[in-house]
Amino acid sequence: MSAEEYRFRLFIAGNEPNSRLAKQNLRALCAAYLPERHYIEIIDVLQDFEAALQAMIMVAPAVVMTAPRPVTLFGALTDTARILAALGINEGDHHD
Amino acid sequence: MTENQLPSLSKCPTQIEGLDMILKGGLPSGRTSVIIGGPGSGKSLFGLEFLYRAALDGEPGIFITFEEHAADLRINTRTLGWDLAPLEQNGKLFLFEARIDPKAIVTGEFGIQSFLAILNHKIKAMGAKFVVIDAIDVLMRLINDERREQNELLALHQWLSEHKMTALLTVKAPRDSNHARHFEFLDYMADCVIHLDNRMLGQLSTRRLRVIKYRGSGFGSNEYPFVIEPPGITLLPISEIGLSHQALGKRISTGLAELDKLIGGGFRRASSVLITGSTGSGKTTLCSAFTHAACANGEKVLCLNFEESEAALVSAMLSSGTDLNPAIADGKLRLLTAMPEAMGAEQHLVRALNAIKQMQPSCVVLESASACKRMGTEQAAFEYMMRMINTCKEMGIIILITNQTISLSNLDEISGIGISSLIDSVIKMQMVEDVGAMQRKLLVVKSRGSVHSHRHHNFQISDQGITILKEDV
Repeated sequence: MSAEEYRFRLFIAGNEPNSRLAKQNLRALCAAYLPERHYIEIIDVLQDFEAALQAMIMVAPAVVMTAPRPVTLFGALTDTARILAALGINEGDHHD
Repeated sequence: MTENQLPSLSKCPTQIEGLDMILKGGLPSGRTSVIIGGPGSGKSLFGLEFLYRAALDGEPGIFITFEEHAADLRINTRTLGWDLAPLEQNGKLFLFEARIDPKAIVTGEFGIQSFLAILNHKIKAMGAKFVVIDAIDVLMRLINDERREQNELLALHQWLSEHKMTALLTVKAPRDSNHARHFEFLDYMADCVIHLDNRMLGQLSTRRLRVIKYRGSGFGSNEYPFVIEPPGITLLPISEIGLSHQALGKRISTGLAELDKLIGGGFRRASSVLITGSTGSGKTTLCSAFTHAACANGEKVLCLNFEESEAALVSAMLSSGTDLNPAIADGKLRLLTAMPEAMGAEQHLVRALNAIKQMQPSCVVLESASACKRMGTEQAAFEYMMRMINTCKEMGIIILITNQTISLSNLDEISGIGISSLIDSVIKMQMVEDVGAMQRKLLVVKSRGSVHSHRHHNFQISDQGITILKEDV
């Protein structure tokens, strides 16, 4: 098992339901599969539009994984199996 | 304003040549319009030209591009002679790149709040009133759920209305009816809907525009051809043009003293003259004699030639004693040459009209009506000729048109493509066999508002040009 660090930038739009859900889902997924080796930066596009413009993020919620490789996800992060496949994480890496 | 007077719909001119006439003033101010067209139909340019012209007048606008790179837009518009950079630097134009990562994975619901947050800030910072969103279908495809697409579109529409934006959304036309649902909803939502298409006619592509809806306003309901040529988009609302011809004016010399006598003193200003004859009958030589004399008398002449290159024409005329070079050198004469097949009739027309606007000639020579048929369809050639003659007549310009007939003596072929009612004078040039030799003959078939000769007149062409001989019977 590699000990690569996973870095995420989560773009949310204030406190709206999909953004809340995305935050919950990402945190749960990281806790389960990437304990102690993930970093999540949360950006509220309603507060910091400049960061959204620079990252060219037009929809929220959205997650940009910057390391170990670039991956972009749109939506409330509801389909764990698809997300794990996209991020290149084995389902067997689950930590309870 | 009295009580029973309703405020009229306020409109915002697009400043796109011809479009405001069709829209009876422009796009609806503070409302959303939609422009739908296939790939390459020019819809992005419509949006960009609207913002560009407004920015030149100091009115700031934002162009949101979901597909193209801002750098590409800057390069592409350079070919039209537009320089976007200074307008961007002084805050009058913002090219907002909102490209959506095509590799992004969608999992769960999302909204366009991020896009609106950025837009909101930019609108406030610039004081922008105009927004173009190019192309909204990219966003809709990403959502890919009918109910949510409509919700997001409604939210966007409401947001734009609340911010009093004059907005133009471009949409790629669906290739199949499965995707038509987006467009029905947009048609319903928008206050003004414009369709563009690009089709092949007579082997040449022709761009057309049609306004299909304008809430609270009348509009030109025909299909209008348009071209994209520097300095921008030009629509040709032919059917909107009322006939406002100037009365036939004073006479100027035909360039041949003898011909002046035959035609009642010369060609009249604002008149149209058709010179018809078979190949080699001297039509071009006659036009050149006229051009040469007119330029020498201080007239400005624009020659539109679809048969020969500039160099070939000038050197051919030298051999019959007419040197056009001095007139070209001092700007009295401009030759605009092109192969008829090189572009569509609309594009030829825009080039000619631009040249007329720039040069302000008093005479136009068009060679030839017969070659115009090669611009595409007969209808396109007819519209070209009609528009040229109308423009000249409205501006008081004399227009000489040559037409090559196939047989030696077919009067029915005079007009070529059905423009005879717009023609004031007709001169027919022939070569007939006369006592074992070919004899050149010239006849003034008609000349409106003139007492003219009705006889055939012999003439010769030598290195001194055309000489009309003593009248024969």
